[in-house]
Amino acid sequence: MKRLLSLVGTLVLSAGLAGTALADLTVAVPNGSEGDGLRAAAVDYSKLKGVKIEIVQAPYSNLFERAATAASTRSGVFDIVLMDDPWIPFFAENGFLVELGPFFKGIGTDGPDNDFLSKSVALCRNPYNTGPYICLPYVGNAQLFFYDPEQYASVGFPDGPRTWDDVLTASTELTGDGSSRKYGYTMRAAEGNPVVADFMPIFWSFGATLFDADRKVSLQTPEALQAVKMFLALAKVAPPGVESFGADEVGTAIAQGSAYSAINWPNWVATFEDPAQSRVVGKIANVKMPDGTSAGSSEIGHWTMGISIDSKNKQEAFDFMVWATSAEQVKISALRGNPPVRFSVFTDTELTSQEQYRHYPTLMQAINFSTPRPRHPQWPEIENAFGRELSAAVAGRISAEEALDRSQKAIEAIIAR
Amino acid sequence: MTDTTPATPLDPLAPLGKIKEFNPTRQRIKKWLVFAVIGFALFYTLFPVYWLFLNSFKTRLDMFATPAIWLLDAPTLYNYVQTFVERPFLRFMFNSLVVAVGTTILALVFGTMAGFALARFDYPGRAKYHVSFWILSTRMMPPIVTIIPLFLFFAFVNLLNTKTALVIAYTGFNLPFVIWMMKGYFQELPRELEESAMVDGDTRLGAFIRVLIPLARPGLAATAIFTLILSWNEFLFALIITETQTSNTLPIGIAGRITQYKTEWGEISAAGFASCIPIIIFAFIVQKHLVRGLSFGAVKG
Repeated sequence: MKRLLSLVGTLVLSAGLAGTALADLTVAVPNGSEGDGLRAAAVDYSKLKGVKIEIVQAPYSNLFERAATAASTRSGVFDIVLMDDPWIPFFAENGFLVELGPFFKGIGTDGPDNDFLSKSVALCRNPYNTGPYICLPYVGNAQLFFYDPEQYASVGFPDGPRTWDDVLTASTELTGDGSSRKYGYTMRAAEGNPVVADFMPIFWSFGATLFDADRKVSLQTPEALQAVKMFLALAKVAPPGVESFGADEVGTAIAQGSAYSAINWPNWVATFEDPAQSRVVGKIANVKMPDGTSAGSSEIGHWTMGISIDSKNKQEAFDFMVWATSAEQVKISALRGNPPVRFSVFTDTELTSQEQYRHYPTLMQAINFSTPRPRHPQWPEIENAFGRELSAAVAGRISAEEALDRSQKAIEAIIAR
Repeated sequence: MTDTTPATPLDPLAPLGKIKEFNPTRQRIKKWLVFAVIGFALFYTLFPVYWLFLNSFKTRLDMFATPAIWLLDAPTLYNYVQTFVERPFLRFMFNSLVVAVGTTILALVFGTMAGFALARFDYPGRAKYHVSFWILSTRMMPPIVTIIPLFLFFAFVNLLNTKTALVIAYTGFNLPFVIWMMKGYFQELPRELEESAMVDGDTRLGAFIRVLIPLARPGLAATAIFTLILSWNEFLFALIITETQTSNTLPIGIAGRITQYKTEWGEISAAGFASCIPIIIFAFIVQKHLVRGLSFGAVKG
């Protein structure tokens, strides 16, 4: 036994303790299908071009911190960062991203080609839609409204809900007294990103905005109050404990057939249509956001690639980004589970004829009518502060008015820093 | 007034007092109470492992079924294929093994020698400065307070994102525990043993290696398994120090299955259950030493 133990020890240790690989490009990506997709693409690119690419994969919440620390310390450790679009203002306005204009000129163009959706490209300019290009869109997400048409028809909405009032009326009827443990509506109301992501489409649909034209916080308005009240009313017909729900709990409730409608990301379509994961195969419809007092609008949530200002391999990084966002590669990425950013892929009949891509027309429409999260360099902090108060309101600890009042003060304090 | 009654002489045949009567019902209740406590303790410790095992073979649909599915109805290997074929969990497991074994060996080598020195030698300030207490006190601070200095240090020596950095960090944090455990074991062993060896011509190091180490084997086994488990399961340092598959350990890989949109419970269960297996195997290998090692010398300060 002693021999066996020493043999195992020697073998394991001799396999090498150190292991920093020297790469031509280092790319920071999140865990999940977006990061997995880009990692697979990097392997293909390495085989094709002989460029060694190291992929650093981190949990969503950790990736921003890592990328921000690397940028702030000017370490240049990451050549490319796959950024969630609300992070763009932080990196761009702090001068951490390379402007891509000169690189586009190098390949004979002024910017991304016209096949990209205009809303996707608008995100990659700073200021939004008007400034220079500082990234390229890779994964095209926008929230969808998922619902069970059969259940909605059973309570008088055969064409589905058109407004948030419809959603509330139908959900109140479907939930009843809650004894059946089937709920008309479910929501993400966990603190931070989840609750804010779920709330913003309702917020916008009532004509509210987080910042006014002068970039001042504008939460104490009748529109914002109406939106919060609608959100809290929906929480009352949702399953108990939604104040701790994230995307996983909401998606699971729909897939198990215990909730009949919710806002969620399109990545869940594949789960809803998989018999091993869902009791509602073929039963869940997805539509654009319902209206409030204004037209409904989805929150856009793209993953975009930007080059670090301290990268020592900027041209190689740009070449890889252009290759990875080409129509051919975006289609491959779509096959790996990532919604596209190009018109030609959204309308590719080879994809749209398949069940798991049947939501592409709706998703493209949702992206085209989407709204970006407020473009502010301190958005991650703002989102946390706003999310804390919204979640507390859903849990019943504070009123709608208090939630808005506290959020207003907290966000003002963040901006004043 | 004093008592003048003469003392009664002790009668050797007199009854000793009231003897507790044997009550079979009470004994039976006592026995069942003991069984109930043991049963609860077993359920409390084993049920999560059973649930992990069960979920690792279930589809997502069955995992969230209401009412819950308590037995393996239609087992699937899908989660294991996803985890170990589609994703680099074998690599993470290998990294964890290298780091845990490396840490255990280093911590035992240095900790055993330090423990021996603290148990045997007189050194300046031994009583006054409580050196051994201060060694242990490094375990009393929350590990997170050392994260930034360690990160900067490893960045400075270019060891970020390496298994070596993890081994160094874990060895540092495990050493106080190993030193204290081994110090207790060595204090249990009579000095005369190594002195006899030295009288017979052995060096102090020779006596330590050839006489004391074999005798302290139970302690080494118990300490090794604790160090191995701590290093195998460590998350915080690995999250900060490692970045890529080259050095990511299992806890990081498992946490990575919680994504922004979805939590892959099946893969987490499969990886979690598989990650228990190496530790269980090691525990079986050293278990004959373990019980004695835990009780032997552990109470000495």
